Parts: sequence; C-alpha cells; structure tokens
Amino acid sequence: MATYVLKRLAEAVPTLVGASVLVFILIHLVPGDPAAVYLGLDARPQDVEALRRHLGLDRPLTEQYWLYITHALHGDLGESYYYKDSIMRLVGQALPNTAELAVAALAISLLIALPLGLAAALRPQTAADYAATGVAVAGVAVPVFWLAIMLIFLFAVRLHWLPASGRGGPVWTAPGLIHLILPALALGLGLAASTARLTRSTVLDVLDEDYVRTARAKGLRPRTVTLRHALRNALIPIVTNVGLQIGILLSGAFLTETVFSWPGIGRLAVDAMVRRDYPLLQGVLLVTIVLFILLNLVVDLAYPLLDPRLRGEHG
Amino acid sequence: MSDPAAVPPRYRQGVWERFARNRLALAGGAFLLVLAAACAAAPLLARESPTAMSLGMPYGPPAAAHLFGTDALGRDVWSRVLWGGRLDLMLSIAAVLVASAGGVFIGVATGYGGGALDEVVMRAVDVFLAIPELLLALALMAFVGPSLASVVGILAFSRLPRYTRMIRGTVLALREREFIAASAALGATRGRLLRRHILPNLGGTIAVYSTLDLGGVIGALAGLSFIGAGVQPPAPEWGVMLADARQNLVLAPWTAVFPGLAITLVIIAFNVLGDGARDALDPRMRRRRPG
Repeated sequence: MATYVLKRLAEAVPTLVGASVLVFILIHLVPGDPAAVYLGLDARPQDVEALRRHLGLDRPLTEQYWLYITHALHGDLGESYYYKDSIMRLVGQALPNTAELAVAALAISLLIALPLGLAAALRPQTAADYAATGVAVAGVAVPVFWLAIMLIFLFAVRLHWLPASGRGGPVWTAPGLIHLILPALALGLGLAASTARLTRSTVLDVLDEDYVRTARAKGLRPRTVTLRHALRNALIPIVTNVGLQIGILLSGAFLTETVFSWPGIGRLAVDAMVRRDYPLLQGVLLVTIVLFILLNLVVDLAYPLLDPRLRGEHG
Repeated sequence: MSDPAAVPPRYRQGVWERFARNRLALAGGAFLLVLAAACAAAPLLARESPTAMSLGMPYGPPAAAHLFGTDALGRDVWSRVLWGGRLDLMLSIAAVLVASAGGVFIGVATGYGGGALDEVVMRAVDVFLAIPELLLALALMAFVGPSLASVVGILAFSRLPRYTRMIRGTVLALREREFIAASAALGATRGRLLRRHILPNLGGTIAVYSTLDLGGVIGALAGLSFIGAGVQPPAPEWGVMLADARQNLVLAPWTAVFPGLAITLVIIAFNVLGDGARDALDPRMRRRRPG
C-alpha cells in the first residue's frame, strides 16, 4: 500500500514539471516579443524595454522558467493586465464557483444515471432500458454548449422558470440555487451518459454473480438483493468512472461557463483570451492543469480504499 | 494501406459481410455520404451566399425562401449550415489525417525502434495525456492565434498523444506475432518487415480509431470556435453559428437549432460507423473506443 502511494506520487512529479514547462512556453508561442504582446500595439518602446527587464525576458530561458515557477510556488502568478489585480486572487475568486458548478453537475449526473442504469439492468428491453440507451447516445453526441443553449431557450426564454445566466450568490440562498440549476443540468447530462451505460452493464454483470444467486436463494427480498448486493458491488467501477470524468467535467465547465456567464475559471480563461490578457490566461491554465493532475492523483490513491481487493496487488 | 500479401482475401470478404449486416453502421455511413455530398454541392444547393447579409430580412423564421430561416444579420441559415458543414468536415478530416500520420510516424519509431527515444517520447506523451484535450487546444490556440492552418494543426496536435500511444501499442503487439518472427527468420530486413507487415496491419486499427475520433474532433472544433478560439466569424462554421445564435435566442431561436442538430447527428453517425467498422474488422476489439 505504502509503495503504491509513493510510486504514484513519484509518477506525478515529472508530469507536473512537464505541464508547468508547457504552460511557461506558451507565451513564447505568440508571434513577436512577449513584452510587446503584453503591452499591446500602441506601447512605447521604453515601456516595452522596462517590462522586458521586469519580466526577466533578457535572461536565459531556463532562468526565466525557474523564476516563473518559484514565484508560482509562492502563490505569485503575476498581475493581470486587464484587471490590474493579482492573478492568484482572481483565480482564487473564480475557482470556488467552478467547483460549485462541477459538484452540482456531478450530483445531477448521478441522480439521473444511477436510477436509470439500474432500472435498465433490472428490466432489459423495456422503456427504462431504451431511455438509458437514449441518454447514453445523446450524452455523448450532444455538444454541451448546444444543450446549454437549448435549455436556456426552453426554461428561460420560453417558460421564464429559471434565469438565463449569471450566478445568483451562495448556493444555499434561493437566487443562488435557481441560477445553478440550468448550468449544472447542461454539464451533468453529458456526464450521465457514460455513468448510465456503465451502471447498466456492471449491474447486469453483478446480477450474474454467485453471491447474488445465493442471496436470492436465501429468500432475501428482491429490493435488498438489488440495493445491498448488486448496486453496492457495482459502485466500484462507477466511482472509478467518475474519477475519469474529471477531464470531461473541466472541459465542459469551460464551455458551460461561457454560455451561462458563470464566473468560474473557464470564463476567466475565455475572457482573458478574448482580451489578450496573456499573463492571466497563463496563470489560469497553470492552476487548472495542476489541479487536474492533483485530482487524478487523489482519485488514483482512493481506489485501494474503495476496493479492498486492490490493496494486496499493490503491495 | 492493405496489402494483398498481408491480408487473406477470405478475411476481407468477411469484413464487408459483417459490416453490411450492421444496419445502424450502414445508416450512419449513408447519412455521412449524403451530408458530405450536400456540403460539397453547397454552391448549387444554397442559392444564397452564406455571408451575404440582407438587412431587409433579419430574424426570418423558416419559410419556403429560407428553409432554415435567416439570422440576426439576415444571412440564410440553410446556406450557412451547408457551408459550415463543408468547413467542419474538411478541417476535422484534415486534423485526423495529420494526427494519424504523426501518430504512425512517432508510434512506429518508438514502438519498433524502442530504446531511449521510446522512453523520452512516452514521458512526453504522459504529460500531454494529463491535460484535457480541449484545454490543451484552447491554450495553444489562444497563444498561437487563429487561422485555418493553426486550427487543423492544433486540433491534430491535441489528439496526437492518444494516436501515438494507440499506434505504439499496436506495433508492440504486432512485433510479437508469429508471422513477423517467421518473416524475420526467412531473412526479411527491418525495412521489409515494416513495409510489408507492420504498416499494412496498422491500417484497420487506424481507420477504426480515427473514424471514432472524428466525432470528437468535430465537437472539439465547434467548441473551440464557439468560445472564440477556433474558426473566426463571419466564416460559416457550426460553432461560430451557435455563438451568434446564443446572442439572438429570443428573436431567432431557429438559428440555434440547426447547427447544433447538425453537430449532434454527425457525431452520432461517426460513432455508429466507427463501431460498425471496428466490429467488422475485428469482432474481438468490441468495446474499445478513443477515450
């Protein structure tokens, strides 16, 4: 167990370094001098020169990277050119909003997918089964931003039930909650697809197991067999799959936040891109990618806790 | 890609028969053929230019003159969907071809060559795989700047790590097969083994993988364009159209319906076609998809 944890931690280090190098290099992909790019077309030459020195652009690339990364590790990602504010602060304000959206979307996806997948497995070839297949196909094929637009059209423009965009405040307040419903639904439906499909197939597999037959033979109620024996054992691959969905969730959040003007890191990144606020964009990307790698690490480390069978294998 | 010496004819016949039995895959393929033909014939099928604005006719609902209606600038949505399909299909197919070619090159070099190169490239692949594809593409697009060439190049680059890993894995598996060992024992050179046995046998795997991936690439392209990091307006492109539509939902909701429907149907079609091709080529490969 300890070896597994250490091995997984050690594996994450080169990935983190590689990703940080990549994000650092990005600014050098912009055609022209980064300092001139930062300041815009109408900057005075002496300002560009001063900024070059301030940013350390006159030093070797390796030294620049070291500077960037040591500052970043101290929580200093520089200053946004548009907001004239600390990038770390801006990201810190946006991140909880994205987390809120992501957790709500995940909850909605499980609320849809688990009952649907379970019903489909228990009653194959019925309406429930076809509904599960429908969700699975649509969830993969319908682009999240189109789904978002259609939801806005139906529930905001036509029915006036829910607000079309923005965040209404903390989720425990009424405006906060009603603003969260549509974006979370748009993001959650896509996630529900693979979870529903997986729930159906895993429960079908588990229902074939000997211990389920034994449970039935003992005369346990079907309900108990389904929930205690079948669903509970099917949960391991489902939780694993949720871990794998973090990437989809993050990419989807970028698109969903844009549609709903949700003040999260996705919208912060897109706004920074539109405004050519390169330091801000770089900072958001660094935080997002590092967070993504760390979340995956946590998920990997959590497997042995969920599935006792894995503990032996990894020593 | 296929080589008569490498693939026995009976097997190939069986592939087509298995594929022809799969009605869903056939329907997907037929839909894509019709759509591709319609998009290719866009200049004939759409009387109006996709970018021509008619100020007298903004927000026109679908009618005989404008089958899919007109958008906020009075542009014909039917024409824009067709021209958009042309652009989306061409860019996505180009991106997948570039990713496949790059994947074959790197995957064969690392899988067949092995050694230090393999180690270094695979570590780099791991880094890129640790970043969601859309995020990687967005990051590169934002800094490189949008053009049709950069859209294709960056879409291809963002998929390249997966292609490389998949092709390298296939090459590694092929290397262990008996017919390769037999050919080597008969004195075939590395070059001949590569040309006659390794490359031809990669064809099917790549065809299946890239078909399944095309749906994802179309979605990624539209998504990037939607947030402004892909094809730029006023070009007719499905993601660009949806970004416009988002602004005009109250007055012209139909402008949001058709491009979104087009993306969805194309993704479904590529998925069922790819599934069918995979099952036909190798029934044992069932349930393997690009992630």
